[in-house]
Amino acid sequence: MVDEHDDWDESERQALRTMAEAPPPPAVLERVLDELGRSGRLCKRRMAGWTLSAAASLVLFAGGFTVGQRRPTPAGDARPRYLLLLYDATASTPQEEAARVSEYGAWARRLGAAGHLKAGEKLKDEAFVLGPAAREAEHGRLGGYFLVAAASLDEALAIARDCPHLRHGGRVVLRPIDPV
Amino acid sequence: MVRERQGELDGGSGRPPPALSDPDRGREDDRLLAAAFIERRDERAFRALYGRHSPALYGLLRRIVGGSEAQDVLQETWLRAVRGLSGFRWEGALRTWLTGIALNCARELRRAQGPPRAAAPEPGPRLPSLGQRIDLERAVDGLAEGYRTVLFLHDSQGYTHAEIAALLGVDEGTSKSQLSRARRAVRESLRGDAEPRGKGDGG
Repeated sequence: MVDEHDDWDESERQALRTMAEAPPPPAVLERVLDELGRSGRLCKRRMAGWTLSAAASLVLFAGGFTVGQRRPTPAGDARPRYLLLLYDATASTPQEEAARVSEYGAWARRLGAAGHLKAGEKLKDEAFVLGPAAREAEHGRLGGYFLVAAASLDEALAIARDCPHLRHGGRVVLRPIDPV
Repeated sequence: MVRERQGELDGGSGRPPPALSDPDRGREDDRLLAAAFIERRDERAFRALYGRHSPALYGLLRRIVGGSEAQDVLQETWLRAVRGLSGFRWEGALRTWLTGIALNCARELRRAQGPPRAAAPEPGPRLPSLGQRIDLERAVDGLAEGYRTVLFLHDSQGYTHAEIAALLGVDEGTSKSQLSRARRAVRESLRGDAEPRGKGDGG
């Protein structure tokens, strides 16, 4: 976008781009699907749809990571790193989960393009707790994580605040990586 | 399936596409998904289309009509889009077409509602110390609706003046002058105080 009067600085430009998209609440999709179903414009295929969309969304989730790796920040990136831990507070149907994970994938791709994303994966439901079992229940079920690089804690918090997980009632715990 | 998605991700590697809202991106995928939806009424195809475009549409609607109404307008946008989809001729990007529908729906809502008002702030967690992005969001939200729409479409979502002119039914010159006034107003509001005033006068 070439525009001679554009006097945004780089961080403003980035902020504007971040504003470009916002995942709508899942209820909107459900209402649209109901409406389309009622007017006969949709064939509902619940089970078959699940397996495939879950697979697709996992690819998307991983896709964010891939982009993040392919667009590495300059060599010797010395910025602090932060781990965003995604705890799930609410149970959801497989459909909701699949839609959500693809949302997260889109978000992760944006992070990757901006040079923040270092890693990100969804975790399985299984958990093998070693040591005092109470620890695992501290924040709920850990559903995934993102590893991001940011210039400051403030920036990392801004990234965390933008994580779609928060819009779905999930909890995000940010843990600065200790560079020992 | 996997290959297609991967290909789409690879597609952007030559240029810097931080906004996922590049309207040309994945046009072929849109076409295939739309065909699957039209021919087989395939729910998965619809979900995929919805998932690809709703974040950008909702991002826009949230800015121009505000949070709770944005949901209704988004719903209406998709219902209309489905009715019109088989007539869409794929001369432009699907995203742009959908954006046009969303803007129309927003305009109708506005007409039914009467006097314009600024976008309502998004509900949800806000940490006041997060600085720049929030200031910028507030400054943008404080603009008069016309300026806000042009600024958002151009600087946030990356539409060209020609596209914006077509979407809003104005000429390119208007789009350009509104953009530069909107930018100036945002700049002034950022310089001025943390609490932008003068909602509605737009500079």
